[in-house]
Amino acid sequence: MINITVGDSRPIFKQIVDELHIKIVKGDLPPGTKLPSVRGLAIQLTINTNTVAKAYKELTALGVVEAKTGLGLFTRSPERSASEKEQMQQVKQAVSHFIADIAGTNIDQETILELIENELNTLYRINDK
Amino acid sequence: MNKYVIETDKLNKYYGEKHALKNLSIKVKAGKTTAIVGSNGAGKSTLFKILLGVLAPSDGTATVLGMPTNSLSPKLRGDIGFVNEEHSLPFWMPVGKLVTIHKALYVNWNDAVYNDVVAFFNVAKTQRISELSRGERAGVNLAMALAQQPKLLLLDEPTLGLDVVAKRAFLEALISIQDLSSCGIVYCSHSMDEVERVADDLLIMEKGALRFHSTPDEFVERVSAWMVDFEEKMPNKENFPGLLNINRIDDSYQLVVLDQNDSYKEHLLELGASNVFKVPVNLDKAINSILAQNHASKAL
Repeated sequence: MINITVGDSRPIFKQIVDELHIKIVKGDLPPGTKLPSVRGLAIQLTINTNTVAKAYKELTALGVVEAKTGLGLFTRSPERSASEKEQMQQVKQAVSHFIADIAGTNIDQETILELIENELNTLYRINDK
Repeated sequence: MNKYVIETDKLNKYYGEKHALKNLSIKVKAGKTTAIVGSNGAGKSTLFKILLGVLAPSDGTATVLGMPTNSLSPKLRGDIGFVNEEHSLPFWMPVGKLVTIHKALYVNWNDAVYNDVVAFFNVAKTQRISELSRGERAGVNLAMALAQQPKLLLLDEPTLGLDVVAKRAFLEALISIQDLSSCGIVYCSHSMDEVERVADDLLIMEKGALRFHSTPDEFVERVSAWMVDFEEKMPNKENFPGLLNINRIDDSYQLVVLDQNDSYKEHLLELGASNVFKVPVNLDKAINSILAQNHASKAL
């Protein structure tokens, strides 16, 4: 269901958070989808159970998943409850990480902007549906 | 229940003139997996021997599960599981027979744990040890160490020499028990890939001393890398605060530094650098920069 890259500059728990968050926001995982158990996902990805637990905790804090007692963790419709200032902060942080990750590549600015635009279009088209 | 499964305080070990462990003060938490990394000769093996009660400290103290390591009781020894890279088991013995013997030796032996762990490997009870692959032997070894339900599990490069499939099975088996027990696991490895996958906590040792102790993520956060060009002669390395390592890459230099924020860029520009940009750092790079620090001077 999700992929992680060992040796990435982003910690594994963050990769899980980002990947699931995007899938939820994009609608690949509709509200009410059951997530794998902590242990299940840990074995599936061959990573420490605490790492998965940490990622799930963060996704819960982000409000995109919720625990149902005895049943497990389920996705919910993303709420835009964060203040505009917080959201701006979040975007700024994401952008600076993105820039750090692509620094050193030889891809020109125009191509990169185009790629971002495509991704944004996909994201918002699906959200508006 | 003790919060720490291992505590050493100003632990020193000398082999004659050689100072193998230097004032080592470490704490390893119960219920967590702590990776120990370091170059060969960092003192990991000496530390393990002391923790197992095979060697006595020259100075300072080492306690395991609350007891000094030089007076471990037989019961307490049963609470320590140990797997090293040799996986040396009696080759003439069928697996089932070996298990029966171990079962009699350990009071807390749990068949269900043995079966769950060994299920990750393709091993039948009737097979002789000599008929098993190295990976399968590692599996039996791990399953037996876990079946004794240890409170501390010491793993000394357990996946060394295993192929990718066996390595994956070994890690999966280990992960499958990580959240089920309060056992503290110490994982010694040269593979940063494995450390990143399994470790909650990271200890970096160098020349018998402790260099760092933090979570792997926090450690990577502290390290940053910069690509720079110097048209003129490169300034002396004393001009670079926090410098861990310098590498020459084509006509540029890569500087790896510790505890420096983004204002480091201005500092580099003031030193006359051009084309300054930050490059991503992963765990492998961060750890290797620490371990290669002594070679930094050679690169200049």
